[in-house]
Amino acid sequence: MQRGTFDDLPADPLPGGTEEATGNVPFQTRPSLLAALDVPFKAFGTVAILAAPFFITGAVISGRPGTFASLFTLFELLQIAPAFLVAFAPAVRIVFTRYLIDDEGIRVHVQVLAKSESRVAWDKVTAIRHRVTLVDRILGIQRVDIIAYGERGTTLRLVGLRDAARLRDLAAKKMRGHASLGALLRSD
Amino acid sequence: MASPKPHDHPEWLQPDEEVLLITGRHPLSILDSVLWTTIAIGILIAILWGVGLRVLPEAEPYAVGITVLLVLFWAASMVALYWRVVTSRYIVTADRVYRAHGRLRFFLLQTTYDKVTDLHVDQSLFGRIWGFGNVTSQTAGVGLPMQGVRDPLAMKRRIERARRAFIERLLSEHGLKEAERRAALPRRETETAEGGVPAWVPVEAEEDMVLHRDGPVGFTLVPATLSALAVGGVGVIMTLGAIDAGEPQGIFTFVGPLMLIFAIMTFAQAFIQYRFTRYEVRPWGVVVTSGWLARRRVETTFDKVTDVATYQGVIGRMLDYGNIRINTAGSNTSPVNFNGLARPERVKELIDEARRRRDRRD
Repeated sequence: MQRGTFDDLPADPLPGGTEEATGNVPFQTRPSLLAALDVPFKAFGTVAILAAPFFITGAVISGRPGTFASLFTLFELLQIAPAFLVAFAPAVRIVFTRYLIDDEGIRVHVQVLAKSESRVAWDKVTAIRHRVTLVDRILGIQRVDIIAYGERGTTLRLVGLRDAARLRDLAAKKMRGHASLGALLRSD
Repeated sequence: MASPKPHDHPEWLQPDEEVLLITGRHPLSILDSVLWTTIAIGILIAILWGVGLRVLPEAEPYAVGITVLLVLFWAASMVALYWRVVTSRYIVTADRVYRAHGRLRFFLLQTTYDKVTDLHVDQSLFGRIWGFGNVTSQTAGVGLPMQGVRDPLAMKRRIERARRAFIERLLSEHGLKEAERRAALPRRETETAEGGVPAWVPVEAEEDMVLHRDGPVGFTLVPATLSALAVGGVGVIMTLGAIDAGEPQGIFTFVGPLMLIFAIMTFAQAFIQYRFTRYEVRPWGVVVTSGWLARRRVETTFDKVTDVATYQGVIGRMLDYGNIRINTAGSNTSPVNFNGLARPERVKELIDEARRRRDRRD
């Protein structure tokens, strides 16, 4: 099994050429740990925005804006510790997440205490979403969603990617290569 | 719509892909959002100054601060909406449809034509005035909406043509026999199909034929009318009571008139739906058109239909009206509903017969 970042992802021009290109060996990579900061960023910001009106109202009613400004600052500082505790669970999950790509499809494998694996075959992929949120832009990471159809309508969310464009292009190439009349006639 | 030049091609397009069309978003397509945001901020400021300061007069300096914040939020929203228009790109290629927007916060969605099940077009009031609308390519997984597209019907036809060409290439790649090729090709095209159609049925005439056209029955207005009368009646009583009291009753002064307005809007919405909704059954599929100022048209071909179900309540069975639900393929595609239709069993038989004829012909 090859390991590395998506920069090392071998080119795969045609479905038939995959074996030569990769030896039909799965390619494995992992998300950046920076993706774990996405949750505390959002949690911290949301609580700050929601708490601000209460502190403003308190300052108005009490007539002591300086005191309430200090209390608000203290409140925000106290949030930082719980925010990172909130991030702890996703961070642990990210450490143990692996993305595996092979000729048949893409898999997201997570094993902390319990093990879970979500797999989408290339011929089931219906759309590819490539996103960079504001937090992702600051942290220098990106995310790709592989949207599939079927009984569960799976969406594989791949976060913490340094170079999502290569994964996106590979998925797009595979999607086109596996375009099937079966799917068309089934109206899938 | 722009003819694509190589230097226009964004970096996220697939290499060596033939680009058929690159277009952006109509600037006026954000008018709806601008109006709603402005109205919402205006209402908040009005409540702040009209009600808040009555309760806390000493908070006037803070009200000024909050007003400034709200105005800044409004300005930021306007900038964000404008930026969305400037950075939006919709691209139709030989293999795919793309939708992208943003620079700092980037978003890209793409799908291939074999995954597209339906194409929906809808236009708001402003869209009908200024010639733009939304075109949504529905897939089994997710819809790919193109908002604010100039001449949305032309865009829809463009995508249909590209999809047909893609399917023909797919058929050539898989080397299918002639009968299988005809079965796979989409039927709803303006050009005449070669072979496979009996000579006595001109294809163009068949495509335009309407087997059944109807709208909701008048009885569907009864529930909305009754609820509007109930809410409106209470609103009138409260308004008259407030007038009779002479002096304002604080926030309760507004409740009566608001209930009256809500009642009128409820009835108006139900009436518009009754008056301007039409259901059509055609030889190739079903069509639902709805809306008065903002029109929406949804066409679904029979090859996407999985099953058809009818429902009649107690009163519906007495008066012979009901609902037809036409389920389509795909986990994300919503069903097509014919609500409040007269003789639903008869219409369902018509749909089933049209589907059978289509299958036999294929």
